[in-house]
Amino acid sequence: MLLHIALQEGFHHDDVRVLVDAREALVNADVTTRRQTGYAASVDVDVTRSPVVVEVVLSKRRVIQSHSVSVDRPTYLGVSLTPEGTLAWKTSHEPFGYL
Amino acid sequence: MKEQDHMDQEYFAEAADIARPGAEPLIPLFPWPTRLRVSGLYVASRIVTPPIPAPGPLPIQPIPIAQPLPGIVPTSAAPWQIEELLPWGLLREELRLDVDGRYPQMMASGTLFGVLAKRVHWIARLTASGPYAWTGSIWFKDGDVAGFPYTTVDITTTTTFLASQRKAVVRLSGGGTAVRTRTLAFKSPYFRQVEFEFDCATGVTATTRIGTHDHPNRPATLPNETLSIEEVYRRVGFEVRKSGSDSIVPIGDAGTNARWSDNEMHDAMQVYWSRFAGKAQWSLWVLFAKLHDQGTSLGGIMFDDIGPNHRQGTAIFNDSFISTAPTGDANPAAWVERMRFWTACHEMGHAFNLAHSWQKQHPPDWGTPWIPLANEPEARSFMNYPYNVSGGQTAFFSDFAYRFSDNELVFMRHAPERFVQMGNADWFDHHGFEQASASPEPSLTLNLRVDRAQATYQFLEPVVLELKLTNIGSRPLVVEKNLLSMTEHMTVIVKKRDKPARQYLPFARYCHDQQAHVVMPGEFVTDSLFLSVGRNGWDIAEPGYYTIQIALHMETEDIVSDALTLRVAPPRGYDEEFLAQDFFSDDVGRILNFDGSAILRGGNDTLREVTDRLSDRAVAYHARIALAAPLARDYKVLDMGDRMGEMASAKEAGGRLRRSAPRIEEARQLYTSALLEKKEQAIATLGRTDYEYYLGRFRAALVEHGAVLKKEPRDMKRDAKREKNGDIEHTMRVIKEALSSLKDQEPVSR
Repeated sequence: MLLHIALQEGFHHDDVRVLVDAREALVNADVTTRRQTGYAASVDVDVTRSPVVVEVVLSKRRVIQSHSVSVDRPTYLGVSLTPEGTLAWKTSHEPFGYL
Repeated sequence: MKEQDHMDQEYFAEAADIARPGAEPLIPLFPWPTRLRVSGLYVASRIVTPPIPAPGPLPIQPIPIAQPLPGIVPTSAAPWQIEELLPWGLLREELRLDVDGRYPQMMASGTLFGVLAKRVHWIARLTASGPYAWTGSIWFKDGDVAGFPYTTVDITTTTTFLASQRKAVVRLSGGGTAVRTRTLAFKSPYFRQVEFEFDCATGVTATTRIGTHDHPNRPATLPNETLSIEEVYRRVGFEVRKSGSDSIVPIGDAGTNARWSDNEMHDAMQVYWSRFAGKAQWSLWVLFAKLHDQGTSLGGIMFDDIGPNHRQGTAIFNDSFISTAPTGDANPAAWVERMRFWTACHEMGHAFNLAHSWQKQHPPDWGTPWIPLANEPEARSFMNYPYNVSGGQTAFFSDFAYRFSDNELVFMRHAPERFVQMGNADWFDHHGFEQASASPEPSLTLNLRVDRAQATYQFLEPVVLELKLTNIGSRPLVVEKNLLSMTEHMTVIVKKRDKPARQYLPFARYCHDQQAHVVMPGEFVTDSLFLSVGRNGWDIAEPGYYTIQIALHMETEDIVSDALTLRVAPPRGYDEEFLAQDFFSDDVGRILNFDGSAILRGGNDTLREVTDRLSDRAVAYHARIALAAPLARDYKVLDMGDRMGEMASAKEAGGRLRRSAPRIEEARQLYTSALLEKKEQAIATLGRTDYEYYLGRFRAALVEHGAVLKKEPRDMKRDAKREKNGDIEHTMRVIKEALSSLKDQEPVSR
């Protein structure tokens, strides 16, 4: 089943690792949000069980947060970095659109 | 006149829209309304336009009309007479009056254009003071504001059906200076001009107009009309024109995959946009294409953050998700047309430097808005995502009136031109200064000052500002005693000309015991701010012009200072250029900020070199102070042995506190040279507040090391006055006596 993970608002030259059930799904040493669209980077993961735990590590900021998400149908998970330095998660069953 | 007719017709149509059964119309529709709209652009110019020759004698020289008094409607005067009222030194003056018509913001903004590219921009929030008169406080200033101290504006307009005879009398007052009154001639019902060009990729149709009632999900009160993109921006206040002829961009320009990358669009813009130029201009290119490289998830983008002139081009992608109506939608075709139209207006909004509604508040490393912002996540604005509000896109469009938010309108109508104009300020730089919660009638005013006639600094000279918070109200106010030294309550913006604004981040925050302090009407509190360097590095270093502005965050409002522009001069010679390589380091910044260090030896070596090689320069005063302070008293140093510099706990590293003995004689020489030998120069560069502070430290050090102070008879009243006003002369006299007393003793060494 499709799990689309999108890094969205708040990233600025961040070193990001995304793990799904402890398996590395995305590694990018320089993630920056394009402010015109609120989009930074994304990865599609094919998952075989639900729920899964998505962990995001921002090493430069020393942020590690995880989030459990059900993937019983195609699922879109948006991850944003808030001004307070924490991660905000948004789950949707429709693809994200950027403008 | 044609424009005015159009606007007046729209005004009446708007009035008819507002009139609903059971509700009294806000504007009498019949008979012919007696109130004409007055919003728009008013100008005065030194370029004298001769009047059209008319029969009869004409004066050889234009005769200035008498200066009208506030509240009195002046008699009519020809524009050429008005133009002569500008004083020498000013070339042009503009007023944007925003009190009626579409979405009135009750604001006025003015720009004074001077010689040598000098200009001042101000914005005031207005309240009506008469049928055609308004008054308000100036809450924003930008540019060369040193000669513009005014705090209040009063505006009176004359109204006539002849646009050429309409005028505004602008009276500026406050700030401890003479009242300034000018008469400006009505020029346009629009605030600014802009031109658009719509081009399409092969096989793509541009959606530049829609029927507002085509889709059933809409506000019940939404007028039924055919709305164009041009009309949307006319309602913002722009006189919109089309540039060139809308053309077809061959799909081959997008490469073989028919998708567009940002670079491909930028290249196409240079070729197909009839107005392309490498400069700032009120002109925008809009491309309608099928898809971006990112695929269907990207509905449109203001792609132009490339090169030196940002925000000149946007694109809308017709084959993206914006062309997929929600399942079960009542009119999918109309939904798609509306979404494409909405997306075009949205992307064009980015070209005017508008951020998304939820992006106005963000961390400093994103770049710095002019003053702090508040997010508008539920705004029914072109700049919000419809599907992100509570209730999703259905809720959004059921309450969407095809407009921008009030804050966005204020920004586009009244912000300084360079913040908004395409190709001028970089994308996201200054994108929404308008949202600080400044009070329209503030009781406090914050002034930024420097202790010198002109705000020009020598190369390498650190910048120390004096902050002055004055109670301008009529009642006593209680503020925190240390309010101005609590930098966590401030946002300090440093903007080098032609560079993005930066937020000054101090090295340290100080936690003070809360102490209330009463500031009586007319009284003030002051403090200093060492501004050149902080956690962001050296914010003020390179030669050039810098603008500084501070927002002080109080419990219920923000106090926004005037903008202060200062200049850093070029290096005097090779020595300064050479030393700069070591001087603009983190170590030197920390030493200067904390008034000395016994640990940062490299930085101290640089400062010693400064005192030797640049002994007559202002930076040497700062260097001597920083070198003197650790020498003047016992100094504790955490000695980590071989593990100095490692990230290890003191216990693990076997660290111990080591005491460094004072070297009072060296300190005395450095302090004397910095503080006593050239007092005026020292005050100018250190700032009066810090100068007094250093004098106090010097005196304390002398006393600690054996100086005998002359006993003075106690005088409570005099002492209180000295404490309140800072009596530099007295402190200097005390220090000189203390130094004399030390001369009579053996050199002190402990």
